[in-house]
Amino acid sequence: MLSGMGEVFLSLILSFIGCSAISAFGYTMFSRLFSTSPVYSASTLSFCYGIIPVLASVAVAIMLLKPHWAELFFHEHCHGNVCGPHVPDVSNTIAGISFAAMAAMMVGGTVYFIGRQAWRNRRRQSTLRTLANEVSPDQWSRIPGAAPVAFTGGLLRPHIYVSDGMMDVLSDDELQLLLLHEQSHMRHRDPLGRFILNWSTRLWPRHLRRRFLADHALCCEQRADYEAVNYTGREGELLAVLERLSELRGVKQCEYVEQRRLALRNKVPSDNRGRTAVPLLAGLFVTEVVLQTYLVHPVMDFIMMLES
Amino acid sequence: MNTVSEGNNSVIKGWLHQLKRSRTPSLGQRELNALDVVWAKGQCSAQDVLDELDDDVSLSTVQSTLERLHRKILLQRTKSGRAFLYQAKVTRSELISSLIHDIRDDFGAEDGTALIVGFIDFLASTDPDLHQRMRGALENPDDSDSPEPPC
Repeated sequence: MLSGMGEVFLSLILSFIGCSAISAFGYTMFSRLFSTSPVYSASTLSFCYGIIPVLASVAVAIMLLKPHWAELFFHEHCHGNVCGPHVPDVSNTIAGISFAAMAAMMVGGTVYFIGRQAWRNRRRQSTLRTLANEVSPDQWSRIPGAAPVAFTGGLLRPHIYVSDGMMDVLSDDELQLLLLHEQSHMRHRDPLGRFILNWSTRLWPRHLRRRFLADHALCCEQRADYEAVNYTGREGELLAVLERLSELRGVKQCEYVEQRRLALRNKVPSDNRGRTAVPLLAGLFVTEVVLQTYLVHPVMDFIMMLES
Repeated sequence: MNTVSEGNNSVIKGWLHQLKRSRTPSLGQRELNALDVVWAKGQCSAQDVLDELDDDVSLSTVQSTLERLHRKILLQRTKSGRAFLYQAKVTRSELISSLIHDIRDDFGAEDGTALIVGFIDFLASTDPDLHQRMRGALENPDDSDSPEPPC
């Protein structure tokens, strides 16, 4: 049972490393695609891009365990008529057991850390909700503090928090816009999305990962701006709020606010190149599955050879 | 080669970050209720807290709750006769700030570009120099020492 799981984990890890590398280094090309997509779909597209390595590595592991499914991509089989799962038989040798145990520990450790972080986040959110003053049940709460802060927190049951400082800065109409913006994050479960992407891009090189997560966060903000304006039609007012809040922020945020302003003005890009995003993402997924099945297969054979 | 080792370091740092202890101690409902009473009263004994709590609990339970809060460095106490008088070491606002800081860390502190917008005051408690630099940049936007050009 344990050795069987180890085989699956080993193929999962090897393919996840490869898929992460392809996605990370391909991001420079795809980031241009997201920036030209309509604001209401860019965040969904970038989220899909971030989870492709996870989905593709699961597909690769399945392909390696069930070789006849891979006939869709590979017509000629390397072993002729002898067809069997491309996973090492780890139950016989010390090397095999070590490989499987290491893979099982890595996957188990990852699952443990993800669960631990989710549990801790849940506890913190629960404490925060108790300490905050609930204004509208299951919607939003006030938190004390002079800093103008508004955010949505909570993975499964998101909740909006607005600081006293923010309420002092905004008028009632502006507050309504702000809440509509935050409700968009709540409706789309953006904190959960960020949590998932935070883990699915864990093996990306640091600079690419930072850039991707920052771009995704910006896409989410732009979509929330768009939905708030779409509901009220008060575009100018939202821009004024952004301007005013930017005065209270660091200089690094200037370009960030400018990007949000531009996104509001150009809701749908004129050339609409974003239409090609879905087929390109599907193409990337298939490429990762085919390439990794092809590359991980000899690695698995090599491990099998070591054991024999 | 250097990029590869930097990448490996970031992955290792990311994993180690998960093991880091949080800034805010975890608090149960009874501890939060007791803290609420201490915040409202300023300085009080376990008996005062018991009188204010709605829960059907004994004095010794309240005493152990306050003792736990003292060990978590959220309360300070002074001996007054045979009893302890408790006083809050952090305000409600500071505790919330610390919690938000932890939540921000959950989403990767180095990647929280969008969230950092609202967290100037929360960052201050971690890195006073950064706070000073940010405040300086806001107050003197034309300062040539500023790392980024003002908008």
